[in-house]
Amino acid sequence: MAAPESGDGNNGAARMVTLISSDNTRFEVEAAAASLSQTLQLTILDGGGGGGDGIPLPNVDSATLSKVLEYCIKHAPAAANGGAPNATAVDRAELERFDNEFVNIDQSVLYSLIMAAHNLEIEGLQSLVAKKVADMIKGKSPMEIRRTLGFPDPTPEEQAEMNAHMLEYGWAYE
Amino acid sequence: MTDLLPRDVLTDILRRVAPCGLAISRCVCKPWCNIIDTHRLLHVDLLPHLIGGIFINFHDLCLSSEFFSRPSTGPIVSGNFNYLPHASVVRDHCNGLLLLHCYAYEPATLYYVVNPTTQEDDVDLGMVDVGNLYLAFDPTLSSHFEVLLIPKASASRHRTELDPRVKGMEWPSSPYMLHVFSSRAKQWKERPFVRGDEAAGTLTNLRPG
Repeated sequence: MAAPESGDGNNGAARMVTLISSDNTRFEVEAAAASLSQTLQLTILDGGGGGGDGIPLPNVDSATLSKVLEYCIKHAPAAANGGAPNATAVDRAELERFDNEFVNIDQSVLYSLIMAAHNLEIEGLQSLVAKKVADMIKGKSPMEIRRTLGFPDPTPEEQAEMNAHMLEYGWAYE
Repeated sequence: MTDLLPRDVLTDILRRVAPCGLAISRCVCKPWCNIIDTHRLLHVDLLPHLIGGIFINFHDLCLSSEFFSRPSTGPIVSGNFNYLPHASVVRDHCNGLLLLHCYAYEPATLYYVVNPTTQEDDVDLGMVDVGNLYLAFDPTLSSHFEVLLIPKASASRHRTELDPRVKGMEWPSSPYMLHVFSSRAKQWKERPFVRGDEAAGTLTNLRPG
């Protein structure tokens, strides 16, 4: 059976798809938003996810999926304009504000988002969460980084190794 | 959190960390260090410069340049160029390289470009015309350097009559030919430079009265 030509259904209503989280919660979302995921895009282009079918996502729980979809819905219009080269400064500022707010979250949530963005291959979200972690590292000493990211305390051997590395480029930390 | 992340995800994250942060991240733990080294994420030449010491020229005393350093844990720099054949003065410097002028009677001008950190690969600039030398070196672009010779304008040195043919000539002319030493070619070559602005004047009105 041929796939529909465009994401838009009849009567001007946007085509919807259903995503099913690992804990069996169903999310109905516009195909355009779900298509920000490279992984889902192929299935959706093949006509999947419509009607009663739904696309199962065994690696993403409902709390994470709802957060991911929040991102996708917000970014879908700009993505539809090809990265929105002609977006107004106001639009871009609004997206930036949204992004900053969006990653202002607990580390456990951030971790789930990183994994989901990776599994679903959502490029914009991947760079957003990666940048967030990079920002958490910025300006900290190795020990502070370990504490921030919840590493266990270093063993004496690890400590010795850290000290040796610090002699090499540690002067970059002032 | 990060010890649970797959290696390729962690690599993607570290790729986004600025050079200073990467240098520090290398010290965090073995897996991080491995990722940074395997993917060559850390560009040492982009790290901020560390001041290992300073050279001071005591112009009035006609002595060699003196080197001063602070006790530090960084790379050790030496100001000792005793291995060069003559006492030397630092004439110019650029991103860690020094241009040394060595005192000698014969030949009258000896110039070397040296790296005080490695004290290796000194480059002898060979015969140099009269003029001021300037060193240009950007390790982020190339490991080679260039030295520019800005000649002393002879028109203002001699108070003889100007050749009528050059009287109305603009100074400096454009294009202006400069001697450039390239460490890649290990020789001096003439290279034209185009003036970016108006001429300072003509040779006639630039001559001292």
